[in-house]
Amino acid sequence: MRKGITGNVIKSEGGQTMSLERYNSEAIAWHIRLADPAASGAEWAAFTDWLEADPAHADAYDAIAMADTQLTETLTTLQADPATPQNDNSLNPAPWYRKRTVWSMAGGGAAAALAVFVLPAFFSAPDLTTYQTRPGETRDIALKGGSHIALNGGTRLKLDAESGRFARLETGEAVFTIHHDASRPFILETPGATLRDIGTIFNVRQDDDSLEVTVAQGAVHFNPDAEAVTVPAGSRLQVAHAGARPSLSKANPASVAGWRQGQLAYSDALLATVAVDLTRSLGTSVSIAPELAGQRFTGVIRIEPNHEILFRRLASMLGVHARHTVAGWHLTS
Amino acid sequence: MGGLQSILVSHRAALARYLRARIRCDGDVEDILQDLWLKTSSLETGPVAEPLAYLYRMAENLVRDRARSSVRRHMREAEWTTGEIDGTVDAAVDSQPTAERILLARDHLNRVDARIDALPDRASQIFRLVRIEGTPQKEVAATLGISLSAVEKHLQRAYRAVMEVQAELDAEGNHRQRH
Repeated sequence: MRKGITGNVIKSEGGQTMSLERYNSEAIAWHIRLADPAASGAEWAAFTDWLEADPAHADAYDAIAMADTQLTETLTTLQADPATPQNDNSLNPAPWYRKRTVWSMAGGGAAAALAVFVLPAFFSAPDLTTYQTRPGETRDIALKGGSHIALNGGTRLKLDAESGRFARLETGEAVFTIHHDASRPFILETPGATLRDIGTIFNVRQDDDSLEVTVAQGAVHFNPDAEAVTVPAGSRLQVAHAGARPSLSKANPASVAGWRQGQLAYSDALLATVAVDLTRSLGTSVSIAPELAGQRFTGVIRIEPNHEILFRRLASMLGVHARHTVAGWHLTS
Repeated sequence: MGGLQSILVSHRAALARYLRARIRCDGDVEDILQDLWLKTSSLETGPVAEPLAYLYRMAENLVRDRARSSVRRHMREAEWTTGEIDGTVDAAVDSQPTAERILLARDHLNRVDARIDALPDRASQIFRLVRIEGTPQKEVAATLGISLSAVEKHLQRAYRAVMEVQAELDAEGNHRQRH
C-alpha cells in the first residue's frame, strides 16, 4: 500500500492558500501515481477528492498533465522525422528518452547499441480496431512504416492500429507484407497460434480451427514460445485442427496469396479447401458433395467475373459437375 | 454491451464527478462522457486488469485531447492572423511534422534533456524506466532494491523538470505573441 498524498488544504489566517510549490508537488505526486499501470479505481476516486478540495489543485494538475502530454508530442514528432537518428550505435550510454530493448540497469554499451527511439508507454493499453470483409470483398490496410495487410473476403481481423505491430486474425485469410524491425517484431495471433515475422510477406488463412501459413519472403516464427517452428520463404505450415501437430510443406513463393491477382494455386489441396477459397473470393457460397470432400487438386484456378464460365471450366478441370442453386454453386461427381 | 461499458454505466456518477473537478465545465463533462461511451462501444481492447482505472484513464486522455486540439486551434488562428503560413496550415499543423514543428520539438527535447541530465544518474535512470519503457514502479523499486516512495521521489524531480521547461516555453510563447 502506498503512502497517502496529503490532501488537506491548509489556509493561512488571511484565507490565502498554501504556496504554489506545495500544490505542484502534490499534483506531480498524483500524476506519477495515476500513470502507473498499478493505479486502481480507488486511487482515481481519492484523486477526485483531492481535486475537489481546492480549485487550485486542478490548475496544478493540469499544468503537469499538459507538460507531460507535450513531451509525448515532442517525442512523437521527432520519431516521425527521418532526419532524427533512430539508432545510437555509439558506446556512450543512450540518452534517457531512447528506449532500450534490453533490460539493463547498468546501462552499458551493449544495451546502448540496441537502443531505439520509441514512444513512451504512457496511459496506454492496446486498443484494437476491427476490420471485416464480406465474402467477395477485399480490403487493404496500410500500416505505419510501409507495412500493409490485404484482407481477402469473409475475413475478420483486429489490429492495434496505433503500433501497427500486433494483429489478431479471427477468421478468414490475409496477406501480410511486413517491414521488419528487429526491436519491434510484428506479432499475429490466430485463435490457436502466435506468429512472429522475420522480415516478411506471408499469407495466413484461418478456417474454423485449421490454420495455414504460407511464406513468400523472409520467415515467420510459429508459436515462438512453444513449438518455435521457423517457416522459411517458399514453405507452408499447416495445423489441421486445434492442438494438432504443425506440418511443413513446400509452396511456390510466386503463388502465395494468389487471390490478390485473381488466381488460386493449389498443390495437392483438398477440394473442401478449394471450396472455402472460392466462397471467400466470389462472395457466393460454393459447396461440394460429401463424396468429393477427400478428392485432391493440383493446378491454378483463374477467378473470372462470369461465374458460369468459371464453374464450367472448373468442372471440366476437376472432372466433376457444377450446379447453380439458390444457395450458390454445388459440385458433385 | 461489453464489460467496459457495463462498468461505465455503474460508475458513471463517479466519473462525472471526477471530470467536473478536473475541468470545471459541466457542458464539457457531458460531452466527454458521451465520447467515452462511444469509444468503449467501438474499441476493443486487450485484457484490462483494472477496468475502472482504465475508464478513468480514457476520460483523462479525452480531457487532454480536447486541451491539445484547442491549443492547436489557437496556433492556427495565430498563424492566420499573422499571415505566416499559407492555406495549407490545417494539414501542416495536424499531420506530417513540418520543419518548424521539428525545430520546436528539438528545442523542447534539448531543454528537457539538459534538465534531466543534470539530475543524479539514478533519477534519470528511473525516469527512463518508468516514463519511456513503461516499467511498473513497483518493479523498478524491487530491481533497484529501493522503496516505492524513493522511486516516487526520484520521479518527482524529473517531472518537476518537465513541468518547469513547459512553463518556461509557455512564458516565451506569450512573450513572442505580444510582439
